Amino acid sequence: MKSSNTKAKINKKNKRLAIILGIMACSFYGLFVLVFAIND
Amino acid sequence: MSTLAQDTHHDHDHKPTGLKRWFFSTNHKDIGTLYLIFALTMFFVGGGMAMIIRAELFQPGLQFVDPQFYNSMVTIHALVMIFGAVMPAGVGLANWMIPLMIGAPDMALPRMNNMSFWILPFAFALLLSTIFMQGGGPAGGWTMYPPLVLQTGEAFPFLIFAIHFLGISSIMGAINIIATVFNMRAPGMSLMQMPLFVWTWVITSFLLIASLPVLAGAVTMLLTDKYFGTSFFNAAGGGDPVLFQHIFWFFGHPEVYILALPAFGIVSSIIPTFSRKPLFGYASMVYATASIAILSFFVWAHHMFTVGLPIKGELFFMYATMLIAVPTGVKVFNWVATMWKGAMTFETPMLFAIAFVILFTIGGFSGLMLGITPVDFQYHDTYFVVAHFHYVLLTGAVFALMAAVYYWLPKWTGYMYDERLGKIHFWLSTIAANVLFFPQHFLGLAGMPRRIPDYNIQFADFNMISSIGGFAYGLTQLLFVYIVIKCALGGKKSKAKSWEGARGLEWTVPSPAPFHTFETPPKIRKEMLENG
Amino acid sequence: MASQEVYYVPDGSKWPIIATLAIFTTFLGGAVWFNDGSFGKHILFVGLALVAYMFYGWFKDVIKESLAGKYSKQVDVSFRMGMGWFIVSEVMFFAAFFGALYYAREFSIPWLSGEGNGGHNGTHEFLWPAFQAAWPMNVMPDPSRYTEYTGVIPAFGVPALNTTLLLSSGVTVTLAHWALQKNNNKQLCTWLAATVLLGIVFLGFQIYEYVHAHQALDLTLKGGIYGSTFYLLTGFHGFHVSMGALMLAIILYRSLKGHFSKKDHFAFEAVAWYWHFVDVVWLGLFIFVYWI
Repeated sequence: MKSSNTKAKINKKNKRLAIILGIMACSFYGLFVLVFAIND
Repeated sequence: MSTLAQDTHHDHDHKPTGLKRWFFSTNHKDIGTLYLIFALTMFFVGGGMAMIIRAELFQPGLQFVDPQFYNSMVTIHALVMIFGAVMPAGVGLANWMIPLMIGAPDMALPRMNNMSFWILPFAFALLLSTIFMQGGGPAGGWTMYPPLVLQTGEAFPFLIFAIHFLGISSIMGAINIIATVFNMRAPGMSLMQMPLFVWTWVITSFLLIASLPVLAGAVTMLLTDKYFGTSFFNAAGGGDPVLFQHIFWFFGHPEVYILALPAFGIVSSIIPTFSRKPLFGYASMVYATASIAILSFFVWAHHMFTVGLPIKGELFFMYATMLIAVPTGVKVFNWVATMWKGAMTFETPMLFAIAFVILFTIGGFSGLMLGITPVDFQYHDTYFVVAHFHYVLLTGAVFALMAAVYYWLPKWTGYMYDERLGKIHFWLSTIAANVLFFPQHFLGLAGMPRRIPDYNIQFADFNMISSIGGFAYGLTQLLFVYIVIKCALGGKKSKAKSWEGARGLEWTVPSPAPFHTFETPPKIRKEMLENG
Repeated sequence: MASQEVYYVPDGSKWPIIATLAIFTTFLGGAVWFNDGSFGKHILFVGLALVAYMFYGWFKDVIKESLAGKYSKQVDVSFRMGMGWFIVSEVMFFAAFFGALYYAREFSIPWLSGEGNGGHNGTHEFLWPAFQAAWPMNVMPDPSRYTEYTGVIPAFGVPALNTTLLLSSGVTVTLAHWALQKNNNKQLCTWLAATVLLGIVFLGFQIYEYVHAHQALDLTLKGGIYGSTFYLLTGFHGFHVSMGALMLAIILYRSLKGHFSKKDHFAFEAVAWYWHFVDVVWLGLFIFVYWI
């Protein structure tokens, strides 16, 4: 039904997106920890 | 027999014209369209009231409206949004999509279907007219607790009858959906092959039939207490105001799931399409939906922890409430697992669906917090509650409805909507809604009470942020109307299958769906089904 | 489940919108009347007349279609589901009032008399310390606002008789069904007529009971929680019996015209279901309102 070529392309694009989102989430978490550390 | 039965359909796309088409309609697509347009209109009427509320709360002190009017805005905003916007939008989608999804020619009881719609404008004429009456609109909150609500002026009987009227409409709609799903499925489609949207609507219909008559009974007792001297809710005659709260929330809690379950169904259709994978754990989704529905009848008193219940009651209702987290968790897990390793693309419906999963979960967690009896003593009737149910209903139910409109709009109009504008609408809505409601958590935890037009100076900053988010959200929805109208008028033509990953019977009929579809039941092949 | 026949989807119909207007007019009239606008009364009656006209017209159309054989078996099943779930919604409506009765007897009255919370009950201690629990509760916590009554209707008088009447009417309607299944139209009409008659006699006794309670016992809607639950439960039930008897009378009229056959008699069955439902609700009333 669906050519595996486009599927692979989408998956590759999504992998990049996942990495970016992961980095963003980690930095938010880091920022959070930092703010609390400073507050103490 | 079959020649007789066909006498109404001389040619394939014969449709009545003029006003008759809409007022006398027996066509599920036309009635669905009416429902959806009505819901959108009411969304703006209720939204306008929300704007008044947020304008008044922009700064501490009283600025624009007097407290009585403010309270009537709070009350009517809730009634309009629940009974006028979210429920009709859900029924409208059910009308449009269920017959298409199960391969039925129409709803099972088409004339009753028409009546359930046309009741709505008249019921809201009764309700909204009260704003202009002596004593103003009902201002005791949408929960209508006595004795406060019994002080309502001329609006009182109009409020009660409007509720009765809306109840009649919803019960007829629910009966129709049940008869359609159990009696009209195309041969070869078993119950466990139905799209989840159909399943959630069947279960919602059971909730409607079991809970709305109870609300009708409760408001009838209010009516007799006010006009005929009965004492159901008056301790002076042996009754109890708390009795009303019990009866009301026996309706009220299932009502919450009446608003939420169709949203679950929508999201369960959209996520597999754009993940290009079948739904993960279909059967567990069905059972989770049913469990949520059953449990919803045993948790009502978690809305009234602070009213003075016996301690055993508080404990029972707390634990029962915690239990609901289990099937809800199953659902969220399944949505995420559907996306896992899927070839995802992020068209507007998918964006709204993902936002739904995340933001509804936030609302669910704040709900868990509220469900814990000892801490609810602090949160009860604060802005934390307001934040909680707006996360569940706005970024939950309304976002799912938006997703549904974008998802099926090509099927309805035959044209693709403007994807760029759709994405702008999504991002503006999501950011604005969070700016609007997230700070309200903090306000509530700090102790700001709900349903009060003024507040302590310490709450000023967060209220201003919240109001700015509110105005932004309101304005953004005008963009939504523009996108929908633009799509209805023209654009890129849509194929029968508007989304390449979509499955289900609704994508086997042309876009736009012709006036009559599936007049003879379709031959079902496995690959046509959404959940084969 | 679905058959291969084409499902009958009716052409556009004016009745739904007339029905909506009729109910709207009725509600509007009622609301204006409650607000002491005496012209509300007239609007209300216009609304009720419209409701009657709507039912007449709508069912006339449906009966015409039914007799023309437009309804396949599948349509019949839809109607059956419709009626069945409508009755379920009615059950839930009564459940709200039974729930109120249960709550008053099990919770609110004992609490008002000081039970619960380890004997520290503010409403009892500070407002009405003299109040003592009783059922029927004919001493009000605040006697100045509600009228006290001299007695209540005993279960084993008229109510027991009424129970017999309704239970017999359940039997006669079943006999009518059997007659229908044997295609015996004459017997069908006889048993239906008997059922209607039993229903009307029941209503007559009920009216007599209300008059007696009002005049001799001084028991009214203002009679505290007992009067409230008594009149609302029996009142709504009485209203349902009236509707059921009216529906049965219409079915009798249609039977006389020979509308029903062994195979095709959904309308009869729907009304029979409704009648049994009314019957069961009465048993609940007899036990929980009159007896215990």
